[in-house]
Amino acid sequence: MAITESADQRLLEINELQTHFFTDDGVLPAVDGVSFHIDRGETLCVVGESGCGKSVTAHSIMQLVPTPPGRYVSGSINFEGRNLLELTREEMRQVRGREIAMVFQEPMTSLNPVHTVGRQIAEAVRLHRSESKKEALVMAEEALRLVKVPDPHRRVHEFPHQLSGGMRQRAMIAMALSCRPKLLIADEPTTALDVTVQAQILELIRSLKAEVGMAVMLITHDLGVVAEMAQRVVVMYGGKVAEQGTVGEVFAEPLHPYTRGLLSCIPRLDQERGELQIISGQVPSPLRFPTGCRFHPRCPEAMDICREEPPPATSKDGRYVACWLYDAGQGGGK
Amino acid sequence: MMAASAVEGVAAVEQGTAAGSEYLLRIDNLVKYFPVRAGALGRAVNYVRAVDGVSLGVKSGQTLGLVGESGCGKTTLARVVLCLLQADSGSVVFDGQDIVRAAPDDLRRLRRQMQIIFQDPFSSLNPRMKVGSIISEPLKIHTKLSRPERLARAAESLEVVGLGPRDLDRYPHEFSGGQRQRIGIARALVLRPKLILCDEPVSALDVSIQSQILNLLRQLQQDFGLTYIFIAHGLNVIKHVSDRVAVMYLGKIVEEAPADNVFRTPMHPYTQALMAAIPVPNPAARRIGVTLEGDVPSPLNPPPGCRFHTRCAQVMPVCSVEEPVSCEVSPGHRVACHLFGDAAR
Repeated sequence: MAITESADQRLLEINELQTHFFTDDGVLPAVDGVSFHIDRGETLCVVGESGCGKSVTAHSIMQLVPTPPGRYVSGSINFEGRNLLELTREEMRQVRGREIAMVFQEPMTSLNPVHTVGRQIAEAVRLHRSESKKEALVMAEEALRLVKVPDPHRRVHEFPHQLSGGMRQRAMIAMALSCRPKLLIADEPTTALDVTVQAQILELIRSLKAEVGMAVMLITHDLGVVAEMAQRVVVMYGGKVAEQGTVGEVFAEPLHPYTRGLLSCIPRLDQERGELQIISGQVPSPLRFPTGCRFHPRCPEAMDICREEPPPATSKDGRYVACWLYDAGQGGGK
Repeated sequence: MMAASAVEGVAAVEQGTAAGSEYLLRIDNLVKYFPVRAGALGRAVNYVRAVDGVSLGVKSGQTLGLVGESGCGKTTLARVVLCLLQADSGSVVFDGQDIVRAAPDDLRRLRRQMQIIFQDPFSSLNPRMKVGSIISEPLKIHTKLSRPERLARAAESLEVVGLGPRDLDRYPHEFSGGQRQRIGIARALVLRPKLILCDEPVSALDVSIQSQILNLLRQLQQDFGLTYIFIAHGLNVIKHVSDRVAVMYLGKIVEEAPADNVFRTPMHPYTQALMAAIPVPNPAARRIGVTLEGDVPSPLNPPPGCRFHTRCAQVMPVCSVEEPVSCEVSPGHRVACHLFGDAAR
């Protein structure tokens, strides 16, 4: 739980990352100065709404952003001391899948419909290890067993359409874990699934994490999932980090007005029916981010300065928040 | 066995009427199968039992939440109720008239009274039509109003959902997801219906926009006395909007009760498992209860007896043989499970 400063603990460190898209309609600053880190073996949840830059951040780590139109404008992504943005294509290919693996939201579209599940997992294995096809297929079966797919011996020869949504997502996780990565990035892995299956998949990720000893970066918009899975939380809004802290801190005492709004606007089970609190206005499009603090048009506590200047990153009692509310009093450091 | 549960269902509905409360909608032993065709002649070789003997009642001005995993038949049930699908047997009595057996002319008149709000605000609005035409199209079909009159009504409807008359001349792509959902709601409202089916109306929206739409739907219900059938996979959303909740599993209602009962004291093992699976937005809370193993069995060959027995933690020998009969465990709280059936008999 404790955030230790020792460099050894740091698995991934993102510094002032800017990933922009250069389109005919103008520049989209999808990720605009994002910094956070992930320690070994920890679960970090990245929360935010559509267009906040959470997926682009994940794709930047994997360098899956299409360039052009995208471009890593500045910043660094240090993974075990190496800046991923400076690696060659071949070096990056070695990192992808073996060191860092990724699971996507749509288990239907991220599996190839014309190949068997086993063959697809075996392909991932064979890309990184010199196994024979036969051995790789055995490993694929083993991987399916690890993610608790019933009857893996049969399933390995089946096609994606023969599996249920939950089972496909398990197969995706099996593929991601086949090379024992140090970091698993899961981009909304349960959004397309039923609650019961979601509970199974989350439980699976949790137990595998302990078993394999990997770190997990979980991208979600569901604060329930965050509370259940995360040790630390990064809240993103408009391509920037609004707030980050341990899950206990962020839920007990959210600092940023956006985090507070998010937490109070979801209907809760332990709440009586009635008017829900809302965050007014619309989620801004990256093409037309507001000036100053990007949340100010929707912020109930907006001040004059919020409209003009973007808030500096402030650390308050060891927590990170980017909001003018905390700058004046604390004399916050940049 | 099925007949027995149906009879009880009717009895429950009758009781409700006797108590002086008014049912806008009564569904009785509704069945909808989809044939699976094979071979050169396209003969039906099997049936998907999407809705298999469902009895429910919805009171005027209330919200019925429909809950269940994907493939349990909740959307099919809703579409049969709206006559978007033809029922195989059973009856749907809306406002005193059986719509399953209604003549086409009567049906058209009844349809005015029921509208639907779809899940995806991006695919449910025609991108080539202006908002004004989208919203006034139902008026074109169901009324004899002139175009200016229709547009005036559309503008009214837009204002009710928080948009303005100036938006009439814009196209759907100019709006955000939340605004589009408002347009979808305006279209549903323009005929002043009594019943609105909300099929996952907020699940495609951002978290901060969801609460805006939920508040709007609530406001509209109060202002226009609307009755909702609400389908959502977010159980917290269902809890928030519903007066009563019906839990479906493989084409059957396993539990039906006031919303508070379903969430506080779920009785059916399936409902309990469903509730236990909800992630709670509180890091201190621990998951309690069992999580379900495996997936929903195929509705092509539902398990015999109680359909849930293959995944049930409290399964008994009788469960795989005999189908449980729905019985009332406390006033207004009905459960179809052998755990309670014996005690009631």
